[in-house]
Amino acid sequence: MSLPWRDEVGVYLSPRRIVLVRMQRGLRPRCVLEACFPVESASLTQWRPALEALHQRLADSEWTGAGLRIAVADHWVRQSVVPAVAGLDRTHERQVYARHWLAQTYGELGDDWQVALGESLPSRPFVASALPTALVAGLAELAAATGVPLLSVQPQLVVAYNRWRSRLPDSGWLVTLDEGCLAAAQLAPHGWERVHTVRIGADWSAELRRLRAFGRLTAGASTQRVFVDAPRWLRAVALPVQEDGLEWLEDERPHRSALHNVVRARGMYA
Amino acid sequence: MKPALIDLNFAAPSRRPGLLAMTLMVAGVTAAVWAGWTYQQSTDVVAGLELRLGVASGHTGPAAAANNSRLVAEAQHVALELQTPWAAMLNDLETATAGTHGEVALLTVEPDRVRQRLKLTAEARSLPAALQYVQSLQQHPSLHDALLESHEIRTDVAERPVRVQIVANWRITT
Repeated sequence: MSLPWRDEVGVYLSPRRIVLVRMQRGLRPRCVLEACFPVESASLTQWRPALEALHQRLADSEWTGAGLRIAVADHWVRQSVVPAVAGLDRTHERQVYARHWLAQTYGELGDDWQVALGESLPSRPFVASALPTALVAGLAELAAATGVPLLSVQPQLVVAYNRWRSRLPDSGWLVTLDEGCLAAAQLAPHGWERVHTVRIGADWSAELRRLRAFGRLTAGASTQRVFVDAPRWLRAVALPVQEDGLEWLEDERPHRSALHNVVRARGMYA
Repeated sequence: MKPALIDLNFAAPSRRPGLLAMTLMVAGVTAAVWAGWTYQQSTDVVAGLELRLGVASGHTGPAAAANNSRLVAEAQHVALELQTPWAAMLNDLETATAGTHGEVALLTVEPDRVRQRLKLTAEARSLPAALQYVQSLQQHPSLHDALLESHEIRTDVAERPVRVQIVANWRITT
């Protein structure tokens, strides 16, 4: 059995950078170390260089002996909001239906994609995400090799939503940005209405405008607020013109949760 | 209201008990120990109260058991006593003795309540008078099976009286 007070290391794993935060557990958890490392990779779609870089970093003594919580960059994630269907009570049935639904957007998902579902009531839509099976297995092997538990592996958009949900309204958009990728969840009172992940160039505001126009058409709302979680450098470079209704999500306060600190550190350093 | 968390995880569920689980386990064990201790305390209090109650009523432990036996014996004795037809027997003895016209004197009467039997000691002027007395006892309704158990002629007295031991069963009449 693992130690009940084992430290945790929160990781943001992305094609260009790795952000690490170490949480000292106990009655009053606190962030004791945080760092950002570059990843040498030729392509934004390749996850192996990032995994190898993470392996090297976790071998350093200052990051060892802690359970891992991983936020995976949205570049490598396929996700969708699956509408509720009566009678889908079993997890296996929901998995099959979610794969069918994801295939409509991304094409057929074979065994090389692992699907995870968000918990929800049977009468509610639920979030379905897919990651390369080899990436998930690689993270599990990495944890096993270093003798630490792999506590969670979640898409960055999910991590950001869980971090900021108390500040989000019932309608609008939550957007996470990273180099070359924009992921957006349209918000609804029950959670997410829909989700999009798109590749972007230097000017991501054009893609954002398209998303907002799409949201207005489908939701019938005149103006929807957009909440953006993005690294600081990307805000300055990619948004020369102030967009109406755009709200930056940032917080420099340390948190008790490893992944909340990953979100904070990603915004500052990544 | 704060929107619900999206609980989505690609990692296999950890077998490590979380802080909440550990806290609940510790709380559960503590509660169980406390409940056991409280139960023991309550049991001791009840035992103490029972002891005090026993002392107050005089019924405790072996002493109480012995006392109970004594009380039962006394109760049985009283019951037997109440069942003994003393009035009828004494009346019959008086009648039978008076019927001898001074030939027989009744000296002692010893009841055996368990066997419902009377043991009589009498002195008669002669053995025939004693036998006549035994026969007369058998005529009375409160006594039956009167027998001359033993007799002794006293030679140290000039009249040479006969001292006899008579046993007779009594009848309980309702």
